[in-house]
Amino acid sequence: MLDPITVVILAVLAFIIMYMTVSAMKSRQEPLKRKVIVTQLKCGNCDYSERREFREGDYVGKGIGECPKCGGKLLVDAIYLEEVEGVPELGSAISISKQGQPPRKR
Amino acid sequence: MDGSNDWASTILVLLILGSFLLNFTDIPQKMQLWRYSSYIRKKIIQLTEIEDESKRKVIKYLSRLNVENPRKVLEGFIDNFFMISPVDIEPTDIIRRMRHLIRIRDDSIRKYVEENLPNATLVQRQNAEVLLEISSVLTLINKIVKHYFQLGLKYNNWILMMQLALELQQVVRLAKAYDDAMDSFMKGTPIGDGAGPLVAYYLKGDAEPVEISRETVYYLTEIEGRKVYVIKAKGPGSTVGWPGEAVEKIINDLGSSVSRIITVDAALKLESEKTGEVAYGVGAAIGDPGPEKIAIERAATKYGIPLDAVVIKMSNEEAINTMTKQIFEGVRKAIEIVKRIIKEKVPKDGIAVVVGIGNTVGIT
Repeated sequence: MLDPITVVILAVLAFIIMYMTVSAMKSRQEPLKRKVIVTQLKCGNCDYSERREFREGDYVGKGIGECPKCGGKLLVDAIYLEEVEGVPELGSAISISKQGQPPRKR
Repeated sequence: MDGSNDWASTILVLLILGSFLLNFTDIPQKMQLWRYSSYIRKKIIQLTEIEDESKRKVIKYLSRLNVENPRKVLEGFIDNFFMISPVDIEPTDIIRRMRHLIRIRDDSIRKYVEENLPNATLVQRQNAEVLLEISSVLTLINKIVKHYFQLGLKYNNWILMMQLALELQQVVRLAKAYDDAMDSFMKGTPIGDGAGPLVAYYLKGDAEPVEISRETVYYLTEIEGRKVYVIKAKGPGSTVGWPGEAVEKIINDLGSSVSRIITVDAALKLESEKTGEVAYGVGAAIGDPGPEKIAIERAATKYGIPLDAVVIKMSNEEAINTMTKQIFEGVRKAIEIVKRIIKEKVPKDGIAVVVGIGNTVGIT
């Protein structure tokens, strides 16, 4: 027959092990995400649009150059922060996607 | 005496002793004071790190703009430029007095930045003003936390310590958000609070800006066949402009021919609400201390013009950091709501005034 102190110690140990296991499982389930600032470009003339990573100096309404499709004025249409799944990488860049396609997921 | 009786008497003695210590001494309070103070100390270290980090960021930004002594510029700003609220036990004229004080403060900050950054562009100076303000706020937060911590220790006030410890998690979260926001202003990306100006940007179409108040412009455009005056702060630098004064001027010019004033702004969401949710109602959607809001309300009331409000919901942290995709989607929804209000509530030959309220950093 086990004495009461041993039973209490074993119960506390079992609780700690269970708690740690559940916490570890929970953190493993959370998908890895990284945040990217996206600049969305849009032609003022036609339906051409593309997305690329934000570059310093970009602002909404800024003229970026000529539209590759019609030669019209290409403007920064939107800048926003987006979460993409994947491991954060140093100096990583999202792929340029055209016609409003979402960025490639890693 | 057998073993079980021995255990029972030991536990009984421990219970009586424990009960005496808990009920008739200050030991539990002392222990709580010790526990909370050690927790607060750790959080103060964290806050100090955030404060130092913010200072490093400001110095880095100012150095990039070739400021000779950026540390001196920063030190000259922190703790200064406070504003004493106007007397409120005599409310006559309080708005006029408050507006006067706010503008004096704005002018002093602007002058200080102009003097110290003579070669910077307007956008760089506007962003530098905000960076200095954020760094100053972080210093103030840290000072206030230290003040209550030292007060609690001095008077052994464990209730004050407990309150402070319980609040600190939120305070640190806010401080981190302010620190992160500095990156947005350094890069010049639109922030969550820019939702209102972004709605105005999309609504203006190809119209040209006309400056109406300081750092505030309006665009005359046509939406759903109605003449619309779109007002926003002049970007892409960090400013909120003077939208109240701008509305006042336009309404005084156009009088009762204006059928509707629609204000669009970012609003703080409740915890249960989702970021980017859009809601509409009545009133002036603007979160200033008073003068700008009252100017819109007075102008609308003077001519009996209905006042609509459209809000895009977000958290405090999201409002001051780079605009998220959910907020951007909220902006799209808000544009549709504004267009619907114009279509349904403004007659074909009527005039509407749409005001995009908020910080226009990163939005021209």
